[in-house]
Amino acid sequence: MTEMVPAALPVDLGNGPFAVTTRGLAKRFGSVRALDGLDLQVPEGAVYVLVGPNGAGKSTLIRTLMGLVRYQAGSVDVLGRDPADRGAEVRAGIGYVPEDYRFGYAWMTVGRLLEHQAVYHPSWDAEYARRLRARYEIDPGRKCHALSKGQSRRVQLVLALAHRPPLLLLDEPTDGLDHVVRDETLSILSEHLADSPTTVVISTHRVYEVEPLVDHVGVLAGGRLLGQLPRDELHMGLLRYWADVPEGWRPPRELSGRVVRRNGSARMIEWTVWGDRDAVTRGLSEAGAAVRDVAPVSVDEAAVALLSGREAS
Amino acid sequence: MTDSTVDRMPATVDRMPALKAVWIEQLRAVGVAIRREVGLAGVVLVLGSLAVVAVARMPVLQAMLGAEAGVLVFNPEEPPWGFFAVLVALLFPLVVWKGERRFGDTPLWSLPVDHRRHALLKVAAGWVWLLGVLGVALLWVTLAVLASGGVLGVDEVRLLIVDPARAAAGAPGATEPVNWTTPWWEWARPFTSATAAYLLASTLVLATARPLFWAAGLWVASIAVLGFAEERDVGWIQRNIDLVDWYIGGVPFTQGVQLTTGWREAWTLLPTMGMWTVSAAFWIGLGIAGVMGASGRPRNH
Repeated sequence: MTEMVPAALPVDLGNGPFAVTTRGLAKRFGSVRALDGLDLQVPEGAVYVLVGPNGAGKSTLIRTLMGLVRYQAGSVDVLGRDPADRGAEVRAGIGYVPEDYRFGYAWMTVGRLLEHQAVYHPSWDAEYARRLRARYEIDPGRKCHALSKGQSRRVQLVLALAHRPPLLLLDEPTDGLDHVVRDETLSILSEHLADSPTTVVISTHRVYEVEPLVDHVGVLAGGRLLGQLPRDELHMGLLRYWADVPEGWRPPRELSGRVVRRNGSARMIEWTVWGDRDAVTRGLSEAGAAVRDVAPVSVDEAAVALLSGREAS
Repeated sequence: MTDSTVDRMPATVDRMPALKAVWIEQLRAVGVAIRREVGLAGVVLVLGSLAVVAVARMPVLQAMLGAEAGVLVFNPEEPPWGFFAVLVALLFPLVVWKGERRFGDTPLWSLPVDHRRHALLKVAAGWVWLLGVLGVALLWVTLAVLASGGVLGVDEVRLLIVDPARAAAGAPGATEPVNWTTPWWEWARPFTSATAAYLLASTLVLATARPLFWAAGLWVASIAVLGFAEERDVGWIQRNIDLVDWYIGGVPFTQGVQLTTGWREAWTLLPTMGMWTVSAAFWIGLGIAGVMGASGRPRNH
């Protein structure tokens, strides 16, 4: 037995301060709604992971924040500015890793590309760039067109980090990286966050790769946010319950709308439920279920549960 | 907007690059982008010109090749110099924008510079390089011609047709001789025509995702208009096409006339500085308007 229903997760993170906010953000590509009334709130200093399946609107959202895509409705505020009007100023404060790993400047060497980027960012830290390049084992004399996908990603990360921007927008930053380099990247990002006050928005559909860094989660599907909340709150509120149930058992009415995912069989349930642990346990017990175990779910599992619920609904 | 974001605003302004730095960097980046193609063209030019000089200076080679001994004349009024400059200028934007996804994610649009301004700076950087490349190429040709014992420009008597109706029959008085020395502005014409061609080609590159497709379409359309004008004998179209032909380095104002001394080339019109000025202003103005309009086109949207 597997049944899924969408649950109402929080989408309001309060009063901020926020590095990024959008209100009712909408963007269509022809008949396709890429963003559909999106209310994003990224607190200052947060590492916010945007989770969603392919086509959820993650990349469109990030490109909108960069001022690369024009939105059609709503409002956007990135570091106090609207990227549609003041895109250059917004981009000055952003380190960006695009979804596409391919470079435009294929004929440039990596060293020349780094020099090029440094000119555009007066805050460029050449020593830091050199250290990053060394840690990633990037050959500065290599032509960009000769880089593999993983090597290109590493160069993109150096380009994004070396000017120590107040905001990092990383679109699938670990895409193409092997396990060793991925761990090194997480280590570099951790050290970067410790050294430089930075807000980070990471878009990925492989949350487990960046989960150690994350402190806020936004779940995106069909251009809409299903929920956004601090990771601790997610861990406290979204739990998996295992319970034995009698034949013909019916779920308690008070859990209606809170069950994110239902798995199990006729005599045993495995539910992922949003809500206070004691209240949910009490509700299940009063309905005749014998709760055997309760466990928190990882961000990745939470995302899978929320998104599979959304897809089924 | 929160108070803290207001407090942070000057910080991002401080992070903006100076326009002068961006301009210099674009000059450098375009220089790197065009290096290979310009190098190849340079090798062809140097080898070709050395071969011409060798033939002109060495009677043994002339005899071997069956070439006529003569004095090389470098006249900017005649093909192929103007065509060469225009052809290079038409292809130049493709090299300047090589590898840039003009309608997609590209480093150029991700950088902290206004997109229109950034595109214009890149076009301007390409133009500076174009004029530099043409200048060096024409200087090299000049030196090569002088080294071969040739001359620069012409100093001749031209036959000007004053009565077109009677000129074809070689009627007396239908033509008159005019002293002609290559004027200074003819040396500038390859640069102005190349500028106009570069700007118009840049317009296509910036405005369309498939500039070669559009260029081919425009070429076919202009051939059709030319054919129509000739078929229907539409004088104003033909005159304007002749003007374009002249401006890009052709010699459209000549025709053969039968004189008592035999066939001679005569001129229906001798180019003037006014023609050059008006043509340059019109085509360069059109190119600037095109680039200004195309550079503001939404990208990646």
